[in-house]
Amino acid sequence: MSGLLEIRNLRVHFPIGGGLFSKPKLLRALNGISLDVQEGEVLSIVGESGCGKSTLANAILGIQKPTSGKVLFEGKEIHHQRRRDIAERIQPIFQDPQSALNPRKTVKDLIAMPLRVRGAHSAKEIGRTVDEIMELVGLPQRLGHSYPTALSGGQRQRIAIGRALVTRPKLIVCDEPTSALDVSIQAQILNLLADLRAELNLTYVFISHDLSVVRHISDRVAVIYLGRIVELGPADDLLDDPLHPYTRKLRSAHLSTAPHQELPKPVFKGGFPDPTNPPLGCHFHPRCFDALEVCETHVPGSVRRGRSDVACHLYTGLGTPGDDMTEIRRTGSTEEE
Amino acid sequence: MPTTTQKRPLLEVRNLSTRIGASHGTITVGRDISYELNPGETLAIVGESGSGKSVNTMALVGLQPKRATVTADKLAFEGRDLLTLPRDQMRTIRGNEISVIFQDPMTSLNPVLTVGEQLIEVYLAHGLGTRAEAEERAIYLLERVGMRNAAARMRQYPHQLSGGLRQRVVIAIAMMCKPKLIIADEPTTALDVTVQALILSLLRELQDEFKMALILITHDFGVVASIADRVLVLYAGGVVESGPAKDVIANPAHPYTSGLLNCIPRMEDDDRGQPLNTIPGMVPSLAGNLHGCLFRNRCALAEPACASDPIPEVAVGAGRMARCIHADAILAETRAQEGGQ
Repeated sequence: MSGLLEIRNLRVHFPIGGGLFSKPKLLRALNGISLDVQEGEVLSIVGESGCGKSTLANAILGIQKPTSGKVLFEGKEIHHQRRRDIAERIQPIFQDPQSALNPRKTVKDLIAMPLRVRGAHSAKEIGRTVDEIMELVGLPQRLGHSYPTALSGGQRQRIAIGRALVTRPKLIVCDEPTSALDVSIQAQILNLLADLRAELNLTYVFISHDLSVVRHISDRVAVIYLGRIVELGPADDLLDDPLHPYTRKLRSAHLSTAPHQELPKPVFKGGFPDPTNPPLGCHFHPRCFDALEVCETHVPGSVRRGRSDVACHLYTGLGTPGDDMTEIRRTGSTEEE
Repeated sequence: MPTTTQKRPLLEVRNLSTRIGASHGTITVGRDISYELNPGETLAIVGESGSGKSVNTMALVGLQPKRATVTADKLAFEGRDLLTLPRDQMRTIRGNEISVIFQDPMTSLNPVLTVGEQLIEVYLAHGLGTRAEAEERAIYLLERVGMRNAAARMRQYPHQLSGGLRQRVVIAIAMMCKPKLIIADEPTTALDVTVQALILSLLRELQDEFKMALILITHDFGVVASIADRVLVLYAGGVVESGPAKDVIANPAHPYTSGLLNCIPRMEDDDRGQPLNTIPGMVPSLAGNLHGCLFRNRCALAEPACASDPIPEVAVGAGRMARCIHADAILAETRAQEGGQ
């Protein structure tokens, strides 16, 4: 099965630091990501800050060159195509519309910009398309000549969405599109994204740290830890019944608004590791309460469980749980975080 | 934890109002906010951006913007009037008896001082003892907030620490002078959810151990549900509802609270594909003369009476109030909804 977007063993490494006498360290932001996104689906990517979510978004948008591996859109390698052609079919929506919009342009100019860059349209055509888009994203015509600073956060995010849609793209990469918004506005924007998806048959890659938002909007979810996918599966399965110990911890750290909620005790062992010097084997093993001996030395491959894929030695059958190594690791020297 | 048999509350706020003078007239960012806080209690002040949750709370310790005028019928901390307190005495209370924790630990820590210096500085500035004593307390507190190798951490700079560890340092600084009240402004908003739970548990533990009261400014009902004893819901600078956090979240009595809670996608509900509830309209301008219920232009139940002053505080159960003429009806409805589920 081939998808609209195919990511094959994608690696993005950044050299960090280094000077006259020291070698730069290598930050493996993405370390062998493989992922398919089907046309019309919403795939969410979750993980802690520093896990590589945004690097992955940039690689999909074609603005981050892979160190190795491929990103194929409609079967063609995107990094071999012209930037402008890719930008017409894959568009981003970012977290903070305030910084994503030029404050000196009016709403209509902002939305028209991608069409002007393309250059193949008359002013009349552009005007008509912009009006259609404004209607589509729920921006009243009277705001057309306003500047973004005069508008609310929700309206600004509508402009950003309108601008992303104006070239009629197939894939939208949403990087925390509602994190900067109040919950009442978040609900409006999530509803808008859902309506647009149905109306225009859009595909979303949705990056978020809010698991209840992810659950609401996604078909499938990929959990990333230090540049690797640790679990990938349908949103219900993954969030109701997480398989990977890391997904379980993320899930239990989510504060629900249920009135009888107690503070979770999702204490990892150890802090988020130094990404320039990640642990050997499974990157998560120093923080994992279920770690086995094999986790220290071997990177777990992805195993199918139900409808999910999980990369964990609890499921690969390479280690036997309950050996005395678990005890040793529990007392290992780590910081509580 | 609310204590039932104390003589007087730790903090009494009655009809606190904050006005900011602007070129086009006065903006009222706080209107008649009243509450009490008992020793050891956790009060969450919750609201969306522009609700005035930060400005009106920071005004308690004199940290309002320069152009703001704060008035109140009563603003008393252990019986002392905070409004008329001279500047130097306010500085003694601030940091000593009332500590403040801000959202972003990177901006509240000094990047060119070591962690240790920043901890010790507070202790010495308030004249609480010698440098050696300060150092001892600093190391004790760093250990207490869960940092290993505290002595080594003392020599590190903020940029050498992760966001979660930085926020632990900020909490340790806030604890240096054994405060009776900590005001925390969105203390976990800049952190990952995994770290958020740790920081909230830490605050709760410290609070129990040192019998501190906590005012938590937040926009996140998940945080309110998991840590607060009581909650104050602010809208457009005014309190629309207050009461025990669990009761308010389970059965809101104000249309704004109920609307806001309904906007949040829930992990427990299978609502995929269903549109989320929204609150139509926008927060009104706070300039000029304000009257009546400021939520009325977004409220499905609004009627002419909602535009007249004053909107009464309706008592809706033990320690609860809602400023809405329909409060009883809404409460009955949210109770029925809960029963129906």
